[in-house]
Amino acid sequence: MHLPAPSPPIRGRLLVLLSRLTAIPFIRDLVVARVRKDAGISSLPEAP
Amino acid sequence: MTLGLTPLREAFRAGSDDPVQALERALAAAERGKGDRALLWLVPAARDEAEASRERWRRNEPLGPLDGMPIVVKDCIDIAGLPTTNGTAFLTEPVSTTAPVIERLRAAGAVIFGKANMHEFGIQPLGINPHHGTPVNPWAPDRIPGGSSAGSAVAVASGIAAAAVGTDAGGSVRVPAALNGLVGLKASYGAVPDDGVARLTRDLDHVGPMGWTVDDVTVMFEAMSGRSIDREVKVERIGVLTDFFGGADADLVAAVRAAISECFGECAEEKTPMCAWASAVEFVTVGTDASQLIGELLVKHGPQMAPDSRFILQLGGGLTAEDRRKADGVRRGMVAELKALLERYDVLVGPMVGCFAPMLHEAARKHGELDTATMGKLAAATFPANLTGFPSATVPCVRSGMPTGLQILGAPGDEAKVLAAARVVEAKFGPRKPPRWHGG
Repeated sequence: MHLPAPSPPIRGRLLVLLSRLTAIPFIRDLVVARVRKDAGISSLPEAP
Repeated sequence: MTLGLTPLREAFRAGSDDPVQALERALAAAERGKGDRALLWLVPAARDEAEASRERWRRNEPLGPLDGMPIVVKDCIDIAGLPTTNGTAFLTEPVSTTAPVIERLRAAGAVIFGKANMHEFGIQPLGINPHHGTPVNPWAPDRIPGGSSAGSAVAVASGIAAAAVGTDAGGSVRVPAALNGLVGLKASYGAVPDDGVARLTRDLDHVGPMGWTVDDVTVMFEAMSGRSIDREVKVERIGVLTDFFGGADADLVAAVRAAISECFGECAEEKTPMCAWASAVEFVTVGTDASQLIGELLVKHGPQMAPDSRFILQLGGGLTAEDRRKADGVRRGMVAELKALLERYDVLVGPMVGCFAPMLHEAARKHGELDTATMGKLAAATFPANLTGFPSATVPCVRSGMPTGLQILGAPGDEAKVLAAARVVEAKFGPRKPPRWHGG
């Protein structure tokens, strides 16, 4: 399976902070750009 | 076999036990196991239902194999007079209607006595709930229970309920079933009604049964779907889904491969290059759907949500129509890929999860966690069945140590073959009782 690229687990206060920061669209979009790459979304093939 | 619905049914029939006593034992077990946070609510109507069932058994006129069975359901399914929290701390108002799937179970005589804890919104396969406490995995309290139908699985596995109902948009019935040593079924899309069920997505959510045995899950499915399953069906052509092992832990791979070999002999191996993208497609599908379906709650209650739910829902809102277009295209490719394989095989098999139950970190109890590596490893093999709507079951496939499940995937509407293959595995391995037990 194409699994997401390994990244450090996010827990505790860091997760609380990130959940607040990503309520801001600009920061959210920066994180989404990273997730799109790490999760393989940007590499999804075109359907045959 | 001493676990599951069959011994209860036999005792009811013999008159040595009855549904009222069974309910009282279940409630006593729930009280003993209260600290394990499996259940959020008890259902007041259960006592009347148990008494009515006892009368039917006394007259030797049970409604069917579920009559009098003490069952719990995930707290995202409506039961009139009780809240449907969906795992949150803020959806606390009682609802006024009852989901059709509950009505069907009650019409079959099931005594629904509890609503079970879950991962908030069913958004992760971990089963961690910072608001209500995390259900305790009875196999190892320091490990996650699996989710999102965590309380449903724990209630059965720790001896509180005889069987349970969960929902599954990305492994949420099958992951906790596998991690708790149970059988779980995500049937074909649309086979079980989902009105009155809080959904995470537009078309990935499935309501499904969890129990100790394949027969328990079969009778639950029959009641929930209104269909009957042919138990005489045989499976002969078995294909192994090799991509589904990708990224799984070596000990898990060894255990599942050994079980496949023992149960089905030498099987042909098949690649599924489109299904191998299931994690990314699932993330986009859940993210874009959930940010719309739960978007209003996010605006109103974001700060009251668990940080992991809030974070994922917010990220979902940042995914684009182009992301979704590509994901939908791969999803259609997955349907075609599995359909073609299932014209050559009765069922396809592989691992249900990619690891044994991971450790539960203390910091995660309070705020949840985001661990993409664990999440992918845990649930990636479950996603193809959700994304295609094909039926998939998990059945225990190890004899010692932490439990895990073998996945059996079939063609749409062909639950009979999926369950037939599950019975083959069950005949070799069977259910095991965990060390932590609240039942009598």
